[in-house]
Amino acid sequence: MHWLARQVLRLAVVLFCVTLLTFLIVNILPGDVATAILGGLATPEDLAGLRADLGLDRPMLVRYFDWLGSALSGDLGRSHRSGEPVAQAIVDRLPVSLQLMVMAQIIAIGIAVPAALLSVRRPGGLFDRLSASAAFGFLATPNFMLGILLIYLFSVTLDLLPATGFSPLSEGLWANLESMILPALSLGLIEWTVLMRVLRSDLLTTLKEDFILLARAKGLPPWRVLLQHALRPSSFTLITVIGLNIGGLIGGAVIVEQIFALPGVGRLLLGGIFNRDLILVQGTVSFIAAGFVLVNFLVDMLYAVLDPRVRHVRFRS
Amino acid sequence: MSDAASGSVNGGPLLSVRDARVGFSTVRGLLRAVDGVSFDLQAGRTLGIVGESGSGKSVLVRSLIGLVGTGSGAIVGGDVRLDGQDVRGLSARNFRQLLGRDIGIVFQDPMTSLNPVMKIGRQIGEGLRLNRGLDSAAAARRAVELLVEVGIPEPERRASQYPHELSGGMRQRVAIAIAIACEPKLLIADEPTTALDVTVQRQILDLLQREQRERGMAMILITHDLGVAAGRADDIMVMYAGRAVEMATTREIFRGPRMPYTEALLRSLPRLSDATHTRLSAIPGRPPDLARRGTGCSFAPRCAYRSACCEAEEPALSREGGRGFACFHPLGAGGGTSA
Amino acid sequence: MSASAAEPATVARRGRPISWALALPLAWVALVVFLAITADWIGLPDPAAQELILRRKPPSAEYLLGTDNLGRDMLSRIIYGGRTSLIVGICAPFFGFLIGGAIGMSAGYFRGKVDLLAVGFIDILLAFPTLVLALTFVAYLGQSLFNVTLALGILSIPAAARVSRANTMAWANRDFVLAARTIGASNWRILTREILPNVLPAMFAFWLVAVSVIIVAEGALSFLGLGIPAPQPSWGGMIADGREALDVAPHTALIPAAVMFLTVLSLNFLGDMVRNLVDPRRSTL
Repeated sequence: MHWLARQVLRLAVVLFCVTLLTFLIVNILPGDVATAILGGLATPEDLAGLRADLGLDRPMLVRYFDWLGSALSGDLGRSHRSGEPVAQAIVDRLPVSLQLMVMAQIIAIGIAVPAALLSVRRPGGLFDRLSASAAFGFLATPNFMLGILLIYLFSVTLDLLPATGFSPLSEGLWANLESMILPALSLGLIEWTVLMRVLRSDLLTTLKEDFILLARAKGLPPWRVLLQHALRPSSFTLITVIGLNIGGLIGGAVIVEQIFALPGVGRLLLGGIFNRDLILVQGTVSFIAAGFVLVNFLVDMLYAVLDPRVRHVRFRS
Repeated sequence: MSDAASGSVNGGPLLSVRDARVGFSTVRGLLRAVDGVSFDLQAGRTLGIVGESGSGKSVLVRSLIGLVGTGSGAIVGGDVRLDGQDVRGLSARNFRQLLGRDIGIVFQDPMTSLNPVMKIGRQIGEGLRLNRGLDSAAAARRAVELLVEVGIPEPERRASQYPHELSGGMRQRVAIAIAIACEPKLLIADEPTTALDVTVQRQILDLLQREQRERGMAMILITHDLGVAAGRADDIMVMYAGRAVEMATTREIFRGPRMPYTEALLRSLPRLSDATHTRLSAIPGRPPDLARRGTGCSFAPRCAYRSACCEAEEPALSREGGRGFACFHPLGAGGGTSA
Repeated sequence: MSASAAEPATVARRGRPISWALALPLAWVALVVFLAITADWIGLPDPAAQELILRRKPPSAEYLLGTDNLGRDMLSRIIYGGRTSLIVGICAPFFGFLIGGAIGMSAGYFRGKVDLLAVGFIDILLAFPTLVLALTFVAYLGQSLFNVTLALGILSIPAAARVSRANTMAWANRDFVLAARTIGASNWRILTREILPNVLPAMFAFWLVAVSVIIVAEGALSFLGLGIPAPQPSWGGMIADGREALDVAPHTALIPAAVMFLTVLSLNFLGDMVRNLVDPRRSTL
């Protein structure tokens, strides 16, 4: 079978399993849903009636396929609490989460690339050792801890930035950035460590190649050798690692949105969990997981595009 | 022996090396890769540096142009002058300029010496833009001209291709184009044909020789193959275990080597004139561990003519006429008694 | 014989001096573990005892680390919280590596359909962002120490399976395994006698790393309120509690944060050292 078709088929199977697994986990205790909605004082008849209404008495698989069918046409049900369509709620909050993750990634790359380049200029030198230690330290920092620290430093002590709350772009770019910078830093300041290590290691390997020697033989100054000859071949692993880290970034976004009270998808999910809003949770987790699978798929494809050898290996296996 | 063609400013040698040394600090001690080598090279002449793997020939030349990896604990010594100018004393920036403008290098394996993710034309033009101040359009044009000169068909198309789209021989031609782009005074070819097919080897060597003649460059040709050096070099320097053990013009060497190692090398060359089924003669033994220098001649353990004094003392390079050799029992006139 | 002089021999490092670099992390981890074990016997105040009058007091002679926002003694809460973190941090990856290791080794050894199933299962688990899956598990299975450990353990299965699978595949084709087969050894015997001892070092190194990752994950869950349930202290929960008082009593959040950071840092350090010793790439076999 053609390689691309196989990948798409695999994607579909994974998506199916992921949504099914989510459905199963969330619906393990169906009785609770009715109780959660009506309260502990509801009569058994009321509970039974609600269950029938919500179709909770049908077999699990039937309910799943029912849900799946609606989901594929964009209907993820309605939240118990707010009555709002789940799909709408997600779409409204998606831009905030995306902005957070993109900003975090930009910060991470913006620190990692210069740090790696400078480290590699003099391997084992002062900057190299300092940045390696810094990377080690930041890597050991949980993101929620970093968030708290940043709040303490910039909001409480220095009073420079808001501790919580989100200003949408409509209220001005500056206000928006002010509300997003601390959250993005909480994620980016940890992400950079992994990126830098990988890039540094790759650069060191590349720098041993003969074509680097030839570039130096042309009389190119060291920084030009680094930037124009060493960086590009070394960036493949960087891209892969960024792709691999997106899962952690999503999890981090959930935490950070909670700390900083950002109206993103992660906060929506947490709210749904706390409120026992089964349908909301189901839709949100499925959305997040499906999105994650899709992004991974795209990263894989991107890698195959960049490196034709990958296509052949996958095809043969 | 001097060629009055372009290059040498004051009539002296273009390249002058005195007591070049390269050592690497390793866990086993100081590894002397190059142990006091001196030679001169006149403009327009080709010097063939011949030796086995590990003789130090590549390290020597790379150290001359400052390309021995700085991070590997290398200790470099000696005096190197290009056109009378002290190379080692230059600032980093001036040295880079010298390297880019006056020296061109061709490495052994064109698959690894060309940047795999950069287009050919750009790689050729890079030196021109940096060292000769051409703008990108002029550099691109010149790159195409150079591709024509080194014999690559469809040069415009090739210039926008990547190295992996070319064959091995073509890649080496590109490497030569890069090396001669800035019209250097000195061209260094480090085993330029070892990684190529036999059929292509001769074409590449012919190309190198032609470029050298037309541009009046001095050339250093490094090879382990004495046969290659025979046809292409004016002078030959034989290296063994980090030292120069014999230096003479090619004719002199082939007519009568003085150092037994050279003689052994010559003998190991298969000849068409040999009878069929002639045994190939190899030199017994192995090259010495460069970290453990004993006293005495380093070739002595493998030499058929050795005697007690060979193992006791290191023979210095003695001069006779224009040639030099390092041996207590030189062959030919006045020596060569078997132990 | 080409000892190409262009490549210097690498300088080998002989012996590891007992430096501060090793002693400090080791000492810290030992302290945490010791306190966690002996917590009940060293006369600590009840971590759940509230003295609202004494809330948010900074460190003093009586309350060595101060009190939290409900007047509870921070020191004892941190020690008991450490016990919780350690229990989860050690047991969860252990469970994960037991199951993941078995799955991985089977996949790597038997290949074929077993491998396909195993890899598919791993892929499905990995298709979820880790924290999201953990949240969902705990939320719907119920919050308790056991469930949190179970959830985090399940989440470490994919990593363990991958490591053991890769290592098994590397070893399964070696000649000594073939030799064992030819003398009629059963698969079980080969797996346990020949392959397992060789896979174990790499697994152990990974386990050490997993411990610190799980401690952070448990901290995150507790921070969000979805980890260890309320009265039982946990570092993540303490940090969350302290967040509200950052302006008046920062120590309530910063002290548990510092303790967690130091613990994770020390564990990472030790894990790194072990990995350097045990890395199969450096093995001389």
